[in-house]
Amino acid sequence: MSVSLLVAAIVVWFGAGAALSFYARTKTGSGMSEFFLANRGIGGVVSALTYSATTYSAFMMVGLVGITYRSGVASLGFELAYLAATVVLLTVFAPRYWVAGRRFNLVTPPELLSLRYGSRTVGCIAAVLSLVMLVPYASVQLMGVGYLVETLSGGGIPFAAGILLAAGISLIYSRWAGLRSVAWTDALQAGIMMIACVVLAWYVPSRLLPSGVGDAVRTVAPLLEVSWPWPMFLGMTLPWAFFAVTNPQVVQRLYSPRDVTSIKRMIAGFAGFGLVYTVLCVVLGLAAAVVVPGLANPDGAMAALLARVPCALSLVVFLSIVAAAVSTLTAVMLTLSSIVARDIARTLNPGIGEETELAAGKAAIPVIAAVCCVFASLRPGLIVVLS
Amino acid sequence: MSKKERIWVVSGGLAVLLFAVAPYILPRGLGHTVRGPFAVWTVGCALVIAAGALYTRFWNGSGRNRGVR
Repeated sequence: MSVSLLVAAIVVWFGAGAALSFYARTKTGSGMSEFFLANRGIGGVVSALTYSATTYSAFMMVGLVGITYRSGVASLGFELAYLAATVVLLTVFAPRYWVAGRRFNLVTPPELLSLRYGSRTVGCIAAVLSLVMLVPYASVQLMGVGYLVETLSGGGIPFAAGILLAAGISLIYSRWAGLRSVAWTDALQAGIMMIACVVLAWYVPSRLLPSGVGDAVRTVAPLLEVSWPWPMFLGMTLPWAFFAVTNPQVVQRLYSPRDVTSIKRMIAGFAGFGLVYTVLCVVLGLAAAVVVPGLANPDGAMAALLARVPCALSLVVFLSIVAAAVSTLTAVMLTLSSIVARDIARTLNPGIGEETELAAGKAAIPVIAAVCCVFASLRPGLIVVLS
Repeated sequence: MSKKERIWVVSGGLAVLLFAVAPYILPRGLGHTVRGPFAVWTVGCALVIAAGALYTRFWNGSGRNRGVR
């Protein structure tokens, strides 16, 4: 795919997101709750879409497709076990977080720990742990975009430029208007993620499988068996199963719905999105094993698949992967910056005013983006292992 | 935690565990075909999601969720 076409698509897509972000900026007032939680007024549909876009990252269309390509259907079990566990956890914990957030005016997840244990130190430790643990996770999103633009452009756009592109877009979306901007752009991004995945999952089996789906199923029969040893399945699934209550960027989302109906719609919408998106990504991984067999690097399966589809479809899928990465990255950056302001700056200086606190949070956003860029530029490990 | 919540947590947790491990414990031929792991995991997850959506109808006014209005 030509570099100019890729750049044009990115510019158009970024323009649409930036316009939405700018509009969100005109609606955003002042204060920590306003900036980081959109004044706790996000409706059900947007809550569902932003939760989905935050949760489902570039990992799905790059890492999950890759691991399915290499090791088969066990990846479906790992992802769906995570999804089902998340739904159960959300039905139990979402209303509790939501009520506590309103009752005690909480902004960050570590703040809840500070309140519960009556110690700012506890919250501060949780904050530092969040910062350390989430940087690699955020960096993986940048790496996903970096690998993709490099592969699709045939090396015309270097890996480093892809990293800077994703970081720059995320920085603008999150810095301009906080969660209101992030939630609205997430909704847009979740839309293109689902559309691209559905169209690609229809196109590949119907047009690229030389002798039909039946033959393809026979070809990938070994991949339809559970190939992961039980300890590996458990090792992959168990940490992910608690994602909904351990990852600060998704926990913080539980503070922002407008009312109880919005929480219910958020859970139902996220669950439906997750089920369809996961199954389709696994189908794409299996299809890639038939269409582009023998790749040395499984993380390149999606890029290799995109080289076989029409240019327009390839561009839409490319943008959907950038969208998935950016939406997760903006959420992580926003949450970490709120944690820096509320749980670290405030612990170091308890007399700090809300305006200064907000300024510290906003100042932390570009610093976090820069740290993630540096980490991603080191290109550590296989994407699925890191994320 | 109310009795209703405890029942949901235990049964929901067990359901997740059962459908996640099902393809590992089903006999080969039942659990290791195209209609095996793929279908078991997809249908199992859909059922847990449906149950979760149904459970949220009982949120209001029970146990620790009394504050949810």
